[in-house]
Amino acid sequence: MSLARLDETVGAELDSALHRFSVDRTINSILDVGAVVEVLQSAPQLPSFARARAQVAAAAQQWLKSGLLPELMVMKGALSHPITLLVEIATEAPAYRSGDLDPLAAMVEGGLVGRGELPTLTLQLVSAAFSRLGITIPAVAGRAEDLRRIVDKRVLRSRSDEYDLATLMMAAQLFRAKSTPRDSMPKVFPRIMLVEALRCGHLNWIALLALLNGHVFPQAPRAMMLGARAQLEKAVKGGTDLLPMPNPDVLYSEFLERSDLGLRLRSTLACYAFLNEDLHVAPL
Amino acid sequence: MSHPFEALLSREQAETTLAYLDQHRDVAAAPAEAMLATFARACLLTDPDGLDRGASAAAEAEELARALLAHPDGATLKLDPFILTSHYRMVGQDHDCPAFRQLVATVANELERQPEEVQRLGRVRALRRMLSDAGFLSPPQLRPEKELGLLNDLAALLVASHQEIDDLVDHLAANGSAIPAGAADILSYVALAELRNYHVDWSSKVLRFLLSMGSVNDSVTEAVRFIALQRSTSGGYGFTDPSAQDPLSPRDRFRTFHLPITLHAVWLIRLARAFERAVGTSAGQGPR
Repeated sequence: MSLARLDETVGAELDSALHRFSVDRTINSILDVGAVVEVLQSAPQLPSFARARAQVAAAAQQWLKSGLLPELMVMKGALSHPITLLVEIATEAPAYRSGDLDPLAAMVEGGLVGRGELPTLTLQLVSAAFSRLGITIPAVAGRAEDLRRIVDKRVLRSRSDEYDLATLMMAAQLFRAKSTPRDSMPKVFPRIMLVEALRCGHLNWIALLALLNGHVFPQAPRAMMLGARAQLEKAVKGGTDLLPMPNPDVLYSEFLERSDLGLRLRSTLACYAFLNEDLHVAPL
Repeated sequence: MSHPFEALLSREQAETTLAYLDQHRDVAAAPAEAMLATFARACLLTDPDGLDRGASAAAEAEELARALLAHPDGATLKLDPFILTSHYRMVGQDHDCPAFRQLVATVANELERQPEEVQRLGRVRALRRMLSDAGFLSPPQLRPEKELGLLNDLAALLVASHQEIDDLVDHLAANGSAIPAGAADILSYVALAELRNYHVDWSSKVLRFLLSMGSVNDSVTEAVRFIALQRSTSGGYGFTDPSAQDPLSPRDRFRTFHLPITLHAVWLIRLARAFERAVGTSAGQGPR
């Protein structure tokens, strides 16, 4: 299929996913939309994302105004990350008014949402206990250098699954929120993940990792970008649908929940943007 | 200048690993294991920044060589000629090891007898280069790098098979010439990626080549750290899930898993430290 056809396919599938979220509000439909907003908020506002951003922003603004997003924040704490990203993107909708945030702000003020005690307490408890034993855990503070180090050091752990992709996207979102220069962001881990995906022909991950390595993190070597482009172009040309699911052996993670369609949609969107944008790859 | 490899293995840890390997040096019981364990001990004993007891390593190598030469199944042992030759080069440069020299000479003689088409293979050319450096044979004929297609197509190098990259690395090592920086970077990424999926044998070979060429970047540094961090309190390397039922017996687990990783770990650490020393002593030359 052509790139234009791919764009149409993604647009239609995204419309369906947004509609299902409005109507069904099942966990799967929330996860579908969450996977898309994750990739949109990880990368810069590329022209190729304009339509998808507008679609998601318009829908998210309605969900924010109607109180759906604040309620989900209270009732589904485990989904606070994608829901926060939806709140963020809702502010781009033409219909958005600052008053739309009032219900959410009141819930935050009341301590109902935005707390996430367990992860914070776990980190602090481990750090405090080890510290008493004379073992210092490197800072987990918000400095860009600390965050870069934490992400890049994931290469020291064996094997990868969707948790690693989520880690890279969350890091990208954080770095972008802090306006961190690209050359201060992680580069070893994103590149190694792309190399692993390229070597297994793992299209779902190649698309996302090519986008992150090409437009967010320090640009990967030309050979990696060209290798990714070649595999994705071939897949799009010979395909008629969204990109396939991640490989079964890397799909599941004990740490986070994912939906099938969401992962296909997010990566096809990333694929479209990566192939459609004029990427000036760095010389070797 | 930072020294990223400095803290990979303390002297105390090296002693523990040395003792761990000492339990597996019985040539009569298991010749292949004894060869690997003795070589791994040599990596520890000959490291000037580590235990620095080269004479002990040479004595152990001689003991191993005598036992292998006298082994009743000597002709069918099928010992890895790369390991034997690498081991000889490590201990035989500074110490007289006549039995070990005799053992490696049999490898050289065997190689000389191979037909010309075999002599042109990357693995055989690389072995010939090592035997030439150790004074056994003349060097291999040069194979121009322009014939090594993967060097001209880095996107293809990125997704090349283990066998293809093995062959490239062997030819480059045989030529003894520097590898282009772009290709070295791609190899380092591939080596680290494969290491994370526990292709330790294969990745270690590529990493040893890059370290010996002085092609060290962030990926090589992290890859050496990765394998150094596989160390357990026993002194061996390689983690297994303690909560899972192991289908292998402890001996088979050691032979097929812990021993190879332990050898690769101590060999890489030794090479990394040698690289660091070389960089430290040549003014103005830092790791790329």
